[in-house]
Amino acid sequence: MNKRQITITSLTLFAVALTALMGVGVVNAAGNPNPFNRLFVPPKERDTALKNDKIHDPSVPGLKLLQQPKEAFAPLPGSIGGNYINWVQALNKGLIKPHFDHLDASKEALSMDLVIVMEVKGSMPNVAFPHKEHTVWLECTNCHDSIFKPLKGANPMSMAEIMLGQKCGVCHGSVAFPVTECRRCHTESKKTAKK
Amino acid sequence: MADEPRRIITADASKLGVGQNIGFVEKLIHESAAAKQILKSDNPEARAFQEKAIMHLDEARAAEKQGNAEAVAKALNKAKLAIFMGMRLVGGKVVKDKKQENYNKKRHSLESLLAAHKRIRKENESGQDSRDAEVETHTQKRMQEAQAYYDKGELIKAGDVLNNAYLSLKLSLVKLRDGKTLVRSLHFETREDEYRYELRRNDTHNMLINTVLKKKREDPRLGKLMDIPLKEADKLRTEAEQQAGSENYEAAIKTLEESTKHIIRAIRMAGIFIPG
Ligand code: HEC
Ligand code: HEC
Ligand code: HEC
Repeated sequence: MNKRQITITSLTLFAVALTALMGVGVVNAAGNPNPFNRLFVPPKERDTALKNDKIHDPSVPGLKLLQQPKEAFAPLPGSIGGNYINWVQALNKGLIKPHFDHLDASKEALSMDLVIVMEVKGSMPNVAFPHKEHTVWLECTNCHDSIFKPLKGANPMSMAEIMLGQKCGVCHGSVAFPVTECRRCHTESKKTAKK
Repeated sequence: MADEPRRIITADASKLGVGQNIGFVEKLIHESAAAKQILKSDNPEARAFQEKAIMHLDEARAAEKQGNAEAVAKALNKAKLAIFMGMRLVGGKVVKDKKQENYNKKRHSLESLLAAHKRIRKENESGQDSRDAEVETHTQKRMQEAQAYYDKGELIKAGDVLNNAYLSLKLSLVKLRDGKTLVRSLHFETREDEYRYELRRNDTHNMLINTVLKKKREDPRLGKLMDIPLKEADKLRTEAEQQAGSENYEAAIKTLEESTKHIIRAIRMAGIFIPG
């Protein structure tokens, strides 16, 4: 297996996009369905070239010097949506080593293994929100309490809101895997959920 | 010896480069976000720099008329320098606003996490640990300290103290909650509440059709096939709304559940497997 470690500029971009979202995502999302739709691009129409990603300026000659995502992402585990990388696995397998703090390379994440199971009616499996998979990338303050109050049940949410870029959708569909990957959130089959 | 090539460069510059450059600096001085910031600000020094930049821009225009590319470039450089100096002065305010905003956000976060810590510690009646209560007093003290710095305008120090308080509170919360699974169970107070939930669930599935599956539905053959269950789903939804209208929520819930099942059928036709 390829254990090459990759420095991926998109991780920095991730942080930038995230901070941008914290400010505006919630406000703009409802009126404008485009941002949440961004990662729903089917594989055939996908174009990852930096010059077409609408983030980099195609007229800057230095763009040619940057590594293309196609090459950088090649050794990483794939996924069925978003940018087609399973970032959770990529991190767990040690294939990427993002800095937890962009100002301090020595700082390590302090993760917390707290799961909140959210029961869903019907045959759709329950949602298990894992703090662990989030706190390896994020600070508690990224979510608490501008997106979620840190109190079980205090944040009613619906799938529609999420698809419109609110609650979980502030990130999922823009900087984290999109809502099309139902099974990654709806993981908890009805029988195994502990009361 | 070096005369020839240099003349070529200067000639080039006077024809295209400089003209564009004047336009660019003009925008920078008059229309850019920073220029507007200067105009809005009550900072006389910044305004003075802007005036100075305008003066140099005029010099550049005059030099252009005389065809003196070198003088144009010099005057433009002075204009840019002046406007940048002005921007730096008001830029400080932007940075300060950002620091204040960050501080207030972080303080707000910290308050909510502290409240959670207090609640969880009290719920944890077995295994009370006096250190947990100490963390809370420590956090509160640090927050007061940070606020004192903030009030004195020492924003960097205020931010640092708050951050330290956050880190120790986080550590303690992680210790209290690590390894736990909590369940948010679903229960409805009334039949009407459950009906509202079913409406949402129905909306969710409709939304998938209209967003993720929009392209698939535009396909004439597949679209037609999907239309069959979707029409049925629509019909049932209208029926459910009527039942709810006459407060027969029990029946309305059943009808909506059926409606949602039909939408799920259409979603599966389009190739997304969702249970249900
Ligand atoms: C990606 C967003 C996110 C991040 C980051 C996050 N949380 Fe949460 N947290 C949640 C959600 C969602 C809930 C569930 C709220 C609900 O049920 O309405 C929650 C609930 C909680 C609760 C209440 C449950 C309980 O134990 O009583 C606490 C406490 C909490 N989080 C602490 C933390 C701490 C400490 C961190 C950082 C180490 C953190 N959270 C990071 C999203 C997040
Ligand atoms: C502040 C941003 C943010 C918010 C808000 C957020 N997430 Fe995430 N989530 C992430 C990131 C980043 C990852 C890891 C990267 C990735 O998988 O794309 C992740 C990963 C996950 C995973 C792990 C998937 C796996 O394969 O192990 C689950 C499950 C998940 N999120 C569910 C949720 C749910 C449910 C909510 C709302 C209650 C939510 N998230 C809110 C950013 C967020
Ligand atoms: C990022 C995580 C995430 C993903 C991905 C996700 N869901 Fe959900 N889903 C949730 C959360 C959170 C809730 C709300 C649970 C609650 O009611 O407390 C929810 C609720 C639901 C509900 C019931 C309530 C409602 O509002 O409709 C349905 C149905 C549902 N999801 C379907 C889906 C389907 C279908 C997909 C894939 C196309 C999907 N979900 C993908 C997080 C997710």
